[in-house]
Amino acid sequence: MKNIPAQPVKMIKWFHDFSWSGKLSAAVILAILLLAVFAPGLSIHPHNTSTGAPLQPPGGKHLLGTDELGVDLWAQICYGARVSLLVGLGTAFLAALGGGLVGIIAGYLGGWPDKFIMRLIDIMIVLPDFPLLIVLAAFLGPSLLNIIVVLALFSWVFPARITRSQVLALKEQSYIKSAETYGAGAWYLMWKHFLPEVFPLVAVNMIRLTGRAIVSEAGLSFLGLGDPTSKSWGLIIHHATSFKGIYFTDFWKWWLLYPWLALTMMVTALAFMSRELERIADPRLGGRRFSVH
Amino acid sequence: MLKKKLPALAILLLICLLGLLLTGCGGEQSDDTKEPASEQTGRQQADQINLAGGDWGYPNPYTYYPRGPGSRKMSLVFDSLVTSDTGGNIQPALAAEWQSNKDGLAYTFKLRPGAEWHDGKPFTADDVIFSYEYAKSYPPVSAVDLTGVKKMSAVDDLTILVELIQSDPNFLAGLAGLKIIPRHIWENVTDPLNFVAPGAAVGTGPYRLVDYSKEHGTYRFEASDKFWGEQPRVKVLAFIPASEDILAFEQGEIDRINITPDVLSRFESNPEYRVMQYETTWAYRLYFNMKNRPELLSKDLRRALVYAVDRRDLVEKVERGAAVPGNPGVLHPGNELYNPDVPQYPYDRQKAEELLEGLGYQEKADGGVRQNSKGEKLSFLLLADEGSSRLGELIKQQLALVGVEVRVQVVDQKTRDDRFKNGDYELCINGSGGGESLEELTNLARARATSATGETMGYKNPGLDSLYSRQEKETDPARRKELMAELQRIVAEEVPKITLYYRNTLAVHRPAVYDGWSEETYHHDQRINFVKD
Repeated sequence: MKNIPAQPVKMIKWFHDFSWSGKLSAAVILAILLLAVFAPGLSIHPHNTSTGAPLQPPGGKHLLGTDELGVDLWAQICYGARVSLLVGLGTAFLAALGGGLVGIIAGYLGGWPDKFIMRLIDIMIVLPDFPLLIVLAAFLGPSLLNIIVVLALFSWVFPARITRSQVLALKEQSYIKSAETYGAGAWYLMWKHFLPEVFPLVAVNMIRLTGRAIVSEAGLSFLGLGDPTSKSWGLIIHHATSFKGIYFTDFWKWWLLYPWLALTMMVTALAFMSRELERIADPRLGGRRFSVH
Repeated sequence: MLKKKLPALAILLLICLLGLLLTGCGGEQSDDTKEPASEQTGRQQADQINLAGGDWGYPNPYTYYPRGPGSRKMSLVFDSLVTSDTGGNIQPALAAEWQSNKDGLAYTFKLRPGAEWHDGKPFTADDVIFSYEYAKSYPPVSAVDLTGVKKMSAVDDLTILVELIQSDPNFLAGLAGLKIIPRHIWENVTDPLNFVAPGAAVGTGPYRLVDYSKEHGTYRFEASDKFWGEQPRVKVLAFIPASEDILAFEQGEIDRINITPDVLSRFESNPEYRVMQYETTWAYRLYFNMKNRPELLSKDLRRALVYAVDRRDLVEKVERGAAVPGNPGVLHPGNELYNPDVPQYPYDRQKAEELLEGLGYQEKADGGVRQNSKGEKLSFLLLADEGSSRLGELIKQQLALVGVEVRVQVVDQKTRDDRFKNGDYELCINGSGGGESLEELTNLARARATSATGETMGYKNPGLDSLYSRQEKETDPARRKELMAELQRIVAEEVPKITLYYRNTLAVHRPAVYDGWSEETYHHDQRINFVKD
């Protein structure tokens, strides 16, 4: 959301254009954002030491109960939001930055760099990413930074394709042509003309990438390949599901359910949000176009 | 139109699903009041028993993975001359009887007449001599300790003469580790570690291997009609993949599982099931690597760590109460050689902190980590496998309370075993059935090739070593017990490793399917469950 230009009036206008599911998604995302930012204040108990009896059901001292080590679940979910958002936004930002640049270069230069980059993108799209993610995560070792980098490595292709097609169309516009005849360099054109034009579309794409990255991180953590020191939602789910016979006890009703719920809500909200923005940003989907200049 | 409604629909669906989950799985179904439990003994014979699989390597003495399940599967197929039962008594196997001469320097073994290999070739003394020689040139997965043997020779086809360098009370126990392999198959094998050709699992044991898949972790054993002993009570033994134990068991896919106390009530009151309880010596232990972290050579530092680890809490949380807190003297309290009069180190944070302060770790740096005046921090890397990651987590929490930082590194079991063996760790949690090994605390030069127990890296105590070898050679039980008591006292005093806890096992099966499970062992795949040796 922070990528939408900070013009309050326009923002309110867009928000007004949102359908109710879009508004709900925005609210959920905002709530989780607040949860992550104010995690220390929102949770009375620490998220990494046991503060009560193991496997306490929700209620009483522990809002959402405790896990098998007696660690408060609500605190874990609050702090887990930080990890999930960090991974999601970090990956999306890296991917958008890298992908956007590659796309602009490919579109603007054309010729063999374009061909090379496009074939590379084709290969990356065809590659099944999750199995490769697993291999890379296992190979590089569990650390949050590695996960972000690896996820970004697999995500840059989408923004790259979008920006390339945008730049290809823009290149033929007369104002660009005239700017070129006046001696505008590649960098100048990139900063002054291409980037502002492609930014909204990339921003929308970033939201989608955020959701994807969060799910991928959770998946890796669930498989035990995540960073064991960063308590993400996926890791809570991993611990819960590796508890022997959890489905035959009552414990899953809080230990597994709540982190799952948080994860699902977050990802669903992000998905709806990106749909919503896409609708507004992309004229082909019937919305009206917005741009920054 | 549809496009607009789609998001709303999706949310609705989600809510419905959630509701379904909550109500659908909430209730406990129990219909166990149908008939009163009748005192019946279940079936003692079965056509086929299925157990949860997993890859533990090809079941021959050179290719199985060095962990209990691997060696037990191998033991279904291969025999040794003698075996030791769960009480440690030596029992005849391929050798029907034996006698030693007066000075205990020579043993004569009479082999079982008529024993055959699975491929129909007769078993002879030749095979035994060959196995011994072969094991000397190619050490098998589980190291055989027959260093005391001077010469092994065949008197005739069914008689073996073994001459010893000196009399050794543990000679027969060592011999039990030597698996007999067929000469006609192994003669020309020069790379036994990679020998998995069809003949590689031909043994004399009660079962022959019919199928093995490394990828799926499945095994299929069929009772061998060539077996020299009583026919096995179970005709086919299959190890199949099962992702969720309890589910697979309830659906009848597998026939016996281990359960946790949390689900005990599900099976306990139901006459269809029988729950068997075992106190085992399977233990989780915390190892110090004093080579990589020389400060751990300080006895007081190790003691401080023992005081700071609440073993009772570990039992309650990680094992849900189904374990016995570790004895600093290493032996399980149920062991007949157990010495109760050793320092016990009850959980005492204050004592731990006093000890640490006495060692000069006074200042608490950033994050509450203790350091000494030279700025050396009490911060350790703890290696754990996936199964013990929560245990590591809890130890990390407990030690943080006294200002010791622990960073837990979780790797898969095989990697942990490998790094443990190579001493590539600072602190390490390892768990195995070798929970009572005092030998790994010594520096006695002998082959230690199992991943179950290892050497305590960097720890040297000549007094302990000599005491250990003395008790090993001692033939008088009373005297040996005394020596063992003294050993335990020293070990508890020094704590070169911490025994965290001994796991108890709850196993459940259906008597109507097969009720021949042994009271002696908690391993489902142990030979004794299916064969009378």
